[in-house]
Amino acid sequence: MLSFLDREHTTAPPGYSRWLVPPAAIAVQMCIGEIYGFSVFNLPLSRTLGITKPAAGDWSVPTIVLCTYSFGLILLGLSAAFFGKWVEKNGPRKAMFASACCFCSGLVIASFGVRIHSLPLLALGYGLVGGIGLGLGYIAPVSTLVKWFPDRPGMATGMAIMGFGSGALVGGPLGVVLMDHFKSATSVGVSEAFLVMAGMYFVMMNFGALIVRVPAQGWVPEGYTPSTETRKLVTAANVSVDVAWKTPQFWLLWMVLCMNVTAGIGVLAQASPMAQDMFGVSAAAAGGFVGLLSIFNMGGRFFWSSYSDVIGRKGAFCVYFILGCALYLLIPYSQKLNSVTFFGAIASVIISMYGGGFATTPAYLRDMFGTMQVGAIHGRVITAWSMAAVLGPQLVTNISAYQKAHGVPKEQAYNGTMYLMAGLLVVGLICNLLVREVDPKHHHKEWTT
Amino acid sequence: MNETPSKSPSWLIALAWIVVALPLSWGLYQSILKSKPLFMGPAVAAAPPAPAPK
Repeated sequence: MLSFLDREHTTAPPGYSRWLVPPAAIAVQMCIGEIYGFSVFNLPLSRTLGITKPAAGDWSVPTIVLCTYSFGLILLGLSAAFFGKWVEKNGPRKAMFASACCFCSGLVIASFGVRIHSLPLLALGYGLVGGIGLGLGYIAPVSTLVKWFPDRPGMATGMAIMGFGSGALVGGPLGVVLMDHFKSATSVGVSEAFLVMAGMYFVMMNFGALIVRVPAQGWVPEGYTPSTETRKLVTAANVSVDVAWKTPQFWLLWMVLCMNVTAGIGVLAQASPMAQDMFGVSAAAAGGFVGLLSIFNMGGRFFWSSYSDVIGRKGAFCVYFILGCALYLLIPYSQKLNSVTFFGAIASVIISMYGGGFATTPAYLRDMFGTMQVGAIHGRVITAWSMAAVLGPQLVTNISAYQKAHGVPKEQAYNGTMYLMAGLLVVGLICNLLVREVDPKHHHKEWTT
Repeated sequence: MNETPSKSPSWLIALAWIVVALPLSWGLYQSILKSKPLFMGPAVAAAPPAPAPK
């Protein structure tokens, strides 16, 4: 009955436009990217019993963040790594459908968990089941897009990963609107909001699953002739996922992603308190600052990844690390100048490169390991994100808290962290500079692009 | 093989992009609205809330 989901039933007929694939990918990524906007639920969830203010027995915000946001992101990495080969084998349509089922049923379970005030159910729904949906949906369209756009792989993956970045822009305000609509004297509206979002996201994600197609074997875009010249760090061969993860290139790229994300997510997660502590802006203005960063996080994914088609992936990451390092070192200076505009400009560029790193990674993997199992390899590299999602915010929060506790004025409490982030980017730069072509002995023998 | 090549209709491509562009534009608009206080100048942005009327 569900055979139309199989890979063999999703092969594009002659004349199918490849420009239908990016919106399919964005539809799925935009929905699962809602996790970036989850913070709008934190405060309402912390008073599900007290309604107007936290009551005895209500959950604390750190507990909520751990059981939902952090748990979900960890599961994203683990499920992407674990199910990567399954996604490659079964194709994007089945993977997108499975992602929709997991992500949306996770929201339904979480909704029930909120209703009966059960933290384990909330964690099971949003963190575990929803997290598996995140991992499947995140990697599902990547290898398909790379195959459809061999002429512009960076731009193609940039469009898809941009969709994930846009999740916060859509999911955050949508959550607020729904909670406002459903809140009452007996409910904060989160449970109802989760249910409605589950329905809306299920429709949207399956719209993506319905229109996505894989190119027929040997298909190339009209007028495109694969380059016969050997380009440095762009292979025409393929490496299987089981071999790829044993190569030094895989672990160097893992470190490259981990360092880039740790530095970026540390600022992204603490942007609001940073702006308030360093420049004394109001909470409303700090909230606006977070919104501004989300726009640059989304835009950077498309811009930088497309630019990597011109300067190469290694060159693009060199820009992220060198420019990023210089900008982190300028943040304490912006505080000395007391210029919130300067700080906002610096942070916006940093966050655009954080997003750019995410979007450039699949194209980098394609250049190093070929298209054969790039989705599965990407899935394993994504574990670097899970690591960084825990590491980055912890570093910023704990170091600034330590400095405040030891008498450092709160305006300067983030300076040490900024220097540390710059150091992490130097480590990433070194790893990126060490990347060389994969030894031909690792190439897959039965498949050539 | 007697498969006739049929091009994807333009309306379908346009519809697919509209379906994703609409929520994206709404989210973008909401975020720009939200970030407005940041551009209202440090004095306004950092201003304490107005006292409640007595």
